[in-house]
Amino acid sequence: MPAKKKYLSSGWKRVSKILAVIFGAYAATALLHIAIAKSVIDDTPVLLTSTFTSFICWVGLMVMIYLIKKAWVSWSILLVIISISSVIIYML
Amino acid sequence: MKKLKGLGNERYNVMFHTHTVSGIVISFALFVIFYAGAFSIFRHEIAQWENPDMRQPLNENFDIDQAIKIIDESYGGLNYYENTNIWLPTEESPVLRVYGAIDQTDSTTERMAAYISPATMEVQDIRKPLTTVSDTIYFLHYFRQIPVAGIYIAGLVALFFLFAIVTGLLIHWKNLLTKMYAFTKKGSWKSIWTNAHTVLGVIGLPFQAMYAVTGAFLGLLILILAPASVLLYNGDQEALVSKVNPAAALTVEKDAQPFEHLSLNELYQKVRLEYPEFIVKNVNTRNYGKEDAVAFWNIDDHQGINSTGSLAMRLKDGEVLKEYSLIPNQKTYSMSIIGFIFKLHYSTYGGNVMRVIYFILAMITCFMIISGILIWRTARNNKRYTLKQRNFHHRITKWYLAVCLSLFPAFAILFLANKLVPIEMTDRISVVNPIFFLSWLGLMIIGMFWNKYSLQNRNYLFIGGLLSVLVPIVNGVVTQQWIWDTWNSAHWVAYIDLFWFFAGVSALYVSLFLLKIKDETDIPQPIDYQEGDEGVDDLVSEMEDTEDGKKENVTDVEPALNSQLAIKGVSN
Repeated sequence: MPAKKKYLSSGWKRVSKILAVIFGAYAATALLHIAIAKSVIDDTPVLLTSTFTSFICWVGLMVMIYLIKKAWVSWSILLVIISISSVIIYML
Repeated sequence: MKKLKGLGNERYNVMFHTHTVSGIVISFALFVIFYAGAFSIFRHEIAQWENPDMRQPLNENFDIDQAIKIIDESYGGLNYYENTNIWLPTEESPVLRVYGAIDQTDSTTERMAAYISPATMEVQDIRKPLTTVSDTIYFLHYFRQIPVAGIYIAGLVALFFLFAIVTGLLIHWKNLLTKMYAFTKKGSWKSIWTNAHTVLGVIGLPFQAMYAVTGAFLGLLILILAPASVLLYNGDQEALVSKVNPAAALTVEKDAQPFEHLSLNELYQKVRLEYPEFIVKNVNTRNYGKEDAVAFWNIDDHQGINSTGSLAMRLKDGEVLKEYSLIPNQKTYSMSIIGFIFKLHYSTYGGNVMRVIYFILAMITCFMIISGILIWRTARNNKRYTLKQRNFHHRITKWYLAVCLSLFPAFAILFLANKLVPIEMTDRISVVNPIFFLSWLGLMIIGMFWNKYSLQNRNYLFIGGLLSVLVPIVNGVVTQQWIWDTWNSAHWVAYIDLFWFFAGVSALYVSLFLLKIKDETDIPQPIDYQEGDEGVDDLVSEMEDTEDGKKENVTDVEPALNSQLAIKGVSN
């Protein structure tokens, strides 16, 4: 029953995915929520909603990272979220 | 039965692997969290069981002002500019608890906490408690015994629990509908554990997902709020707090004049009349005894999900300050959300029925965790692993089971130690708590010598059952309050005694008459690695297991099978 090894990533790809899951996905989640809070008039409901949607979003990104075969594709998606959110936070 | 579209073969395997790794790493910690958490739902009732001061009938005619006065005198004056919070007597906790601040010599203040029993008017410092059974269990629930890091570890466990739930859901997506009722005892041990794990996982999914999210919220909120507070409010944390709690926006004068304002007892009756269905939990005062004194009456009916409220009242004339109050069930989204999460996590809605359901679901989750550990091991006890690897799997499984299953007897020992260590003894909690933790450790170590999982299970159940039956007896002998005495005077004490009695009797019955110990040991035995078609048999049977004995997944199986055979062909 254990998963077949040939489908699992190894070496640097594995390390890269673990880093993406813990740091990349967290940064993307946090910045995305703050960017949404910045772009609405009343940030309070958004901020309070983020106290639980953040964890759901973080885990969602974790699963996404593993569902996408190539680590660089996952990293690109995370970096796109991070940069767009950062621009919004900086501009507004 | 209708089938949902599942993952492809590769993604299935990747999800399976992440589910296995995240699950096995957090499993024993998650078991401790759920087991201790289940008991913590009843922590106020356990506090009544453990502490003789709490075992008095509730006297409705308590005097809040006098309690403050007595505490003030015995602590040499409280600083009323700081929050002075008085928790009112309840059936489980029939004492008045005061949380205030006292001035230090260096012009700072220090928080104090004490309770007064209305019958004797004696003051007891809460910071130096007589007993800590419920606190020990509650602290264990979020690993507070581990300095600083404890709550963050618990939060991370909750986060990866959510990850394991989502990946587990994706693995079983295809057969999700059949898994709802696939109760069966047929097949090999592997398929019994697999079925138990998936069926209980699917049924308990909403409960477990709720706890994973709210648990991560309670443990890791700082990770969300810290960047938000820096980027949205330039690090001003008070701006953040006042958005959730209107009471935080209210200010009182530091040098206000002393004033003879209305009595808290009088205003308490007023709140009671206005909200007859509600329990007044506590009253939080600012500048008590001064001209601008304010009291916040916190109320809850323990039924609704949005029914917590806070009534701000000026003590000079008893007027309710609407802008600083929260009216139950009429709160805005922003004001509701935190209370909503707390109610879900602490099970303070839906009354006692909901608490019992929570307890049962938590125990089901504990069973699901154990079955997950056993799947992990059983699936690895085959030719695809070397003897060394299999020995490693065996040792890990044995440790994990020992940590988890020994909690049942260890909790019974904690309850027994609470009664057997004399209540008059000075500093008795530094005796009771080590007894609990050392006997838990001792029970774990003994468990490492039992090389059959069925034997571990039977023995822990037997020891736990024996100790559990003793709990109500020792309670009766030591306190002279047997179940039939407390049944009327303090019924929660009787319920806890009865819980231990029935838990003990059923554990003894199951361990002595129902459980069969396998003849063969679980220590990995050498397998003839040359013989037979290595791996392929397992692969076929495993696909059969996951498909409930039906080979409907043939298209998925074949490429995997062919590639396995191809690899074999090359190596031969």
